Amino acid sequence: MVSFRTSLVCSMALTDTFDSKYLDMPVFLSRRTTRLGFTLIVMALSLAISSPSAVAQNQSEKPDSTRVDHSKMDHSKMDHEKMDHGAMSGSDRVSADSADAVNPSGMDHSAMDHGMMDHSMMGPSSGGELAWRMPPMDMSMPMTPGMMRMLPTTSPFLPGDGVDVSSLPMAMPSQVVRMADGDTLQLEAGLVRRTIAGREYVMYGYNNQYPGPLIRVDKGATVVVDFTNRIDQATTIHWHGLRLDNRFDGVPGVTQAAVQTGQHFTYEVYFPDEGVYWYHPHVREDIQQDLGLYGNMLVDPLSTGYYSPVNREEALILDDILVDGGGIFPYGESQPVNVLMGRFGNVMLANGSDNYRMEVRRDDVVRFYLTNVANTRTFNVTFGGARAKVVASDVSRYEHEVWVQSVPIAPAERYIVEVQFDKPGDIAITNSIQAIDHFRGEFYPHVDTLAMVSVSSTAASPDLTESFSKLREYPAVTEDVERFRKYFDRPPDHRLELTLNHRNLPIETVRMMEIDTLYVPPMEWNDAMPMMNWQSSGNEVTWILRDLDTGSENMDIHWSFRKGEVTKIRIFNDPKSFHPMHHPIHVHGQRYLVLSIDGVPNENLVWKDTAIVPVGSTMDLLVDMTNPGEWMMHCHIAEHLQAGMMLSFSVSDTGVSDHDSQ
Amino acid sequence: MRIEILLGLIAPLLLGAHIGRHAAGERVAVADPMLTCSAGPEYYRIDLVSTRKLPGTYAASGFVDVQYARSPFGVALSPTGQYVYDFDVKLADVKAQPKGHYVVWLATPTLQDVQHVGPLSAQFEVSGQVTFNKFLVVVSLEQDGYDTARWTGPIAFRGLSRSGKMHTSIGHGLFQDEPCVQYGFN
Repeated sequence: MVSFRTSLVCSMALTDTFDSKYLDMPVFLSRRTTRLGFTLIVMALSLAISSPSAVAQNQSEKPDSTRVDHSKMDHSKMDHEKMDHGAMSGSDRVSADSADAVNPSGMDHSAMDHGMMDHSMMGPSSGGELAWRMPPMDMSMPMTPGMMRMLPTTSPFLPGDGVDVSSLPMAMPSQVVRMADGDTLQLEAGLVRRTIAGREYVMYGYNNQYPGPLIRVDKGATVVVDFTNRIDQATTIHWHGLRLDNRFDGVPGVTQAAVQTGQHFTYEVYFPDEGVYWYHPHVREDIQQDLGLYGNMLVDPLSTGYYSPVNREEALILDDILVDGGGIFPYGESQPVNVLMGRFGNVMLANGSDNYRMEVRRDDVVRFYLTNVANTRTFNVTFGGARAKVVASDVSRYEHEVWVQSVPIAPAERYIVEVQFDKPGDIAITNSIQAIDHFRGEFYPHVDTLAMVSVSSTAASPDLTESFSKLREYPAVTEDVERFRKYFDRPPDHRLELTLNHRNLPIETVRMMEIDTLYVPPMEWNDAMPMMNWQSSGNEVTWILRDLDTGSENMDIHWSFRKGEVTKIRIFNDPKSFHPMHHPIHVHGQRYLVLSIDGVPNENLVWKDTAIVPVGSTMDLLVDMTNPGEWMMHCHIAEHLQAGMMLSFSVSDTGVSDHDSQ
Repeated sequence: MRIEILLGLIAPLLLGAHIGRHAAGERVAVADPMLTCSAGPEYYRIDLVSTRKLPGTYAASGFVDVQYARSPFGVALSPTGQYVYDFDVKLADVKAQPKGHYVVWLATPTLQDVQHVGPLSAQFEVSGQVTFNKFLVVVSLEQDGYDTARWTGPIAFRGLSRSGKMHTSIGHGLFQDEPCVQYGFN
């Protein structure tokens, strides 16, 4: 007799064919809704019999290929000498997470030998060899009792599973493609072979590169991208941050049909604003983006002196990926897993490499174009104590530059930062955070090395120390912002609440969440609950944008604006929801100002397309609705987006606005 | 009858204390009539509680309002990842002491690190900045020469950051039967 949860997964797989996840998002949602009744019945039955004894009995009768050996996994009798998490055993945590990781508790992890427990075939296979296995985690933190018996309610999935990795082309580092107005780029998404931390993986790549080609253009250019899909899923390309023609925004079901395997789509990509942007799929970002489908676009200003002089430039894309001894950790097939917190990786990547290095001369001033493409991780980037100043963000420069000691950057955000390396030697660019250990109720410092900068003793030429030492002001930005100042104090036109609904989560997760509410951190810097996170899929969790004025949620919200309208949106991140978490909110096709956080006015404005709304905070955005079309606004944590956290709005040349009657 | 008289005497005091709490904790965002959400930045506000050790503090109340320090990134962080908060300490319905000053201190829960914020103003207010992950707020009564490493006078008010309420799960709740020794705990 197979366990009921196994039958649930199988039944879900039967009712939710593999193709369904590739469909455009509105269709995806409606199909999920039609399955709801059946799913609820099955899951309710599953929950009703999921007492530990019942589950244990059912699990013990599984076929060997899917059997969970509870004699070794009984958490109350956990024998660490028999545990094996592949390459990610507890004793390996520091080296696996980062060579610089700080031991949170002072425990002797080396004394914990997890050497014998095999999670390699944990749970049902989706028909092939692939099966769920326990996610990599810090075994100094016990998981909630009973959790080890649980599996996600969607089947595991890995693109290219079964493909001989040696048959794939070896991916190359990203190359710069300088394009002039009217030029055409042939861009192909395909399976590639990547080597990360000494192991080979089947991943995705644009033009066999990691990241994809860096497209460099002048402001005002329009280029053609002739795209071909050679991966094993439908996909699109979203040109993140660009205020381009709506037809080419890359949102399946809204601006185009998803590009099926083997098919083509021609994008016309317009670059109206200077700065750094990026492109990525808008279909199952949790999988496709995570596996390497991303690239930068640098838009150069037409005038000299737009930026300060620098000795060199460096586009640095930050990412992470979740791997264990079995390879890349599987994704959810019909639904994303890790939906509560998003999928945190355990290997940090800079420009796709776990060992990214660059060389500079002493006193070189380097302009970094930083982009965070991780599914959920927000980085706090430091430059080894070197002097740094932030110049620009998503869609413009700031009103004035600011000295900074670190750069917090959420998924999809970009920052342009200038750094002077004045001391010879090796400098680590790090992610330096205060992680949380919920079991111990502690913060602990954690440092990941993202890249290394080798600073030679040779002096920089030219020496730009003098110009670097000055913080510049940008009157052009202030003048641009000034046109909008009359709208700053008006009441909000729309009010959104960020929250979530859940159903049929494991009772242990619900209980743990209910008692863990005394303190909710404003930001989640680490995956402090990997098992609970992994077991939450889109079947159980819906992340919600709720219109506080109408009560509508997610894709039931559709706002209308007239071109040229300026709208104020107030976003409140409810700290009393079931699982509060920060959200990087992205608006397609337009630009916005963050006017205030918690009522405190922002006195150094910058045009954005993505910004963090911390837990418990209220953020006022002023959106410049200049670009006609049907657009999306959503959380840019990939799993939150897939779990529903998106709305749509239209901007029309001549049509009506929601506010015509006001 | 005596109870009714007693209630009649106490009620205005209670009401006054209630009003005083609102006055002490006023924030721009909360005052915004359009912000009708059930909770907001005050979620992280710190209540100050009188220790009732000093006359003139029995009916007093206070808050520490924390908000992100100015930052080009919205969320202000230190290079090691701590949140950087500006804070305002405000007391209400408190009387000045005939001798000494109320002085505000912040301390980590183990008291290993203590930050001397400074004396309260004549309006019983003071502001500062903090980067502690968890912290206690202590308002003590200090005599002259209070520029010491730690408070020396009696504690008049105390508070705990919201983060300080995050406590261990060891040995209770879902983990009450867990063999915590195996995870490094005695």
